[in-house]
Amino acid sequence: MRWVPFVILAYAAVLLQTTVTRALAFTAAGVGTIGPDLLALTAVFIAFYVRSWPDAMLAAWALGLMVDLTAVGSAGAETAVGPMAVAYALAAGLLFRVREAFFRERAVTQTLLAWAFCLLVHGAWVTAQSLLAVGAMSWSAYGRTLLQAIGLACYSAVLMPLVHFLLMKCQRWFLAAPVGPGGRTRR
Amino acid sequence: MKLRTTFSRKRLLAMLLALSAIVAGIGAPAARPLRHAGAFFLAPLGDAPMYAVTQLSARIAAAGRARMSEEEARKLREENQYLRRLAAYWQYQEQVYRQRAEDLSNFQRMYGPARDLACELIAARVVAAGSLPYGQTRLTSPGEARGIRSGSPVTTRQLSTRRSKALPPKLAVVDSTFLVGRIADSGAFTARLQLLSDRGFRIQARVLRQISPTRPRMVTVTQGSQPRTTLLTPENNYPIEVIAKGDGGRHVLVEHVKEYHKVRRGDLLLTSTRAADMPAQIHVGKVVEVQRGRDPRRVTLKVAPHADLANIRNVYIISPVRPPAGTP
Repeated sequence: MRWVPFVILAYAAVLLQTTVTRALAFTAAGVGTIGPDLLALTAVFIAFYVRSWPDAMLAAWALGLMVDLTAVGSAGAETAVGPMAVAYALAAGLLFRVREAFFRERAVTQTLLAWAFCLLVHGAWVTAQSLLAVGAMSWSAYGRTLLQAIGLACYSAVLMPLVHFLLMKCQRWFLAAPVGPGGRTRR
Repeated sequence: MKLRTTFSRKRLLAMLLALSAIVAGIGAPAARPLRHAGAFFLAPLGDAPMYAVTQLSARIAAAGRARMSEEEARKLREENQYLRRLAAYWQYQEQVYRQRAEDLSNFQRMYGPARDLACELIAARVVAAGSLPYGQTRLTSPGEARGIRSGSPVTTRQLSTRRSKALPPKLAVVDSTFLVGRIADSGAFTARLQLLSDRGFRIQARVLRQISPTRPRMVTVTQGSQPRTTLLTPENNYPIEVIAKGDGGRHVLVEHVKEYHKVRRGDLLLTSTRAADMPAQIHVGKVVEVQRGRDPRRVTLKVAPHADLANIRNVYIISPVRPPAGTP
């Protein structure tokens, strides 16, 4: 893992996430705003091709922390920093473990794994924030936010093949020795 | 050597995860300074893409609207010309009025009690949005360094730009500006704006019913101890005090409004002067739907904000100026 280019990539991703993805978001009746999570897709890509699991988890932790620092407000409560970083890191670790069982080059696989990753991290984040904001969150608000998380996971998963294609073009820039296509095969 | 590096990374990861759990456990007191530190790095480069996005989405929204016919366009042009002439006339009248008002206020300042509302309008710019769609927040450029505090209301700049530079501090907030939200928290150079439509947004507001001669409405008023039904007139059209909250989408909801007030589509929602840090009535939006629930005596109002919340960029923050301690 090349950490300095990775930090630049993560900064660009968070910049896009906090500005440009507003234009991609839409409002679903009864659910709320639904938009993609580009940082989760970046974390999924890194977990696909990085050589060691500590690198995958460290990179995902950094991306999750950036989401934590730039996300405020869930059902009125000021959200805590930390749950997303932990969720990203653990989900990336899990994805690293199971990646050999899938054909990562297939768009369907990328979509499904990105969907599972987003569902896992956002479900965990919403639950953790609800538990931390005792009193500010009702069951109905929790259910609605979970629905939003499911919508976000679906939307992000649809974009995964495109993000995968773009990151594949520049993977050598931030991955020192990527495994899989375009890189060295893992022994 | 390789083993040592791997071990140190694992240990670093364990430490970071533990640290994250501790920070999460502490909650808002730890989150706030960390977020402000993060915003410090994000704000400088967020301005340009946010500008591009707001411009682009505003153009797309404009292009998506239904095109008008040739006849409608001609009528609109004529109406615009008439309104321009009217505007020029009123601008002149306003200048005359302001000159007289200034002369009078100078006289009043010398000999009468101060009547100005003590508040300051702080111009700010939206530089980023939240990374997740669960909350409706925006990051604005000036922060605590300019005296912005949590809870300060924010209005759009649209109707107050002409006065923005001429207004000295401590003058009254002009009515008919639109509220877009309030400051959720503020750092040294950035502040976070919670939009009206955020699920956590709550504000004390009042509904102002619009009286139309073509559509009169009967309301129930109480005189003495007996309620009676009467026609709504300017004399008995008292504002209805309500609590407005965001719906998490694009609207504001007003729940538990008594049905006998007969609120309709087109009625206006304004901020209440009883709300904290709100020196004047500020327009929030227009009622677009009156929803009836299980209880026939109460209705829920769906209000569309006047401001285009999706594309806001330049805003004013209303910062009330507290009188010095000991001032009567």
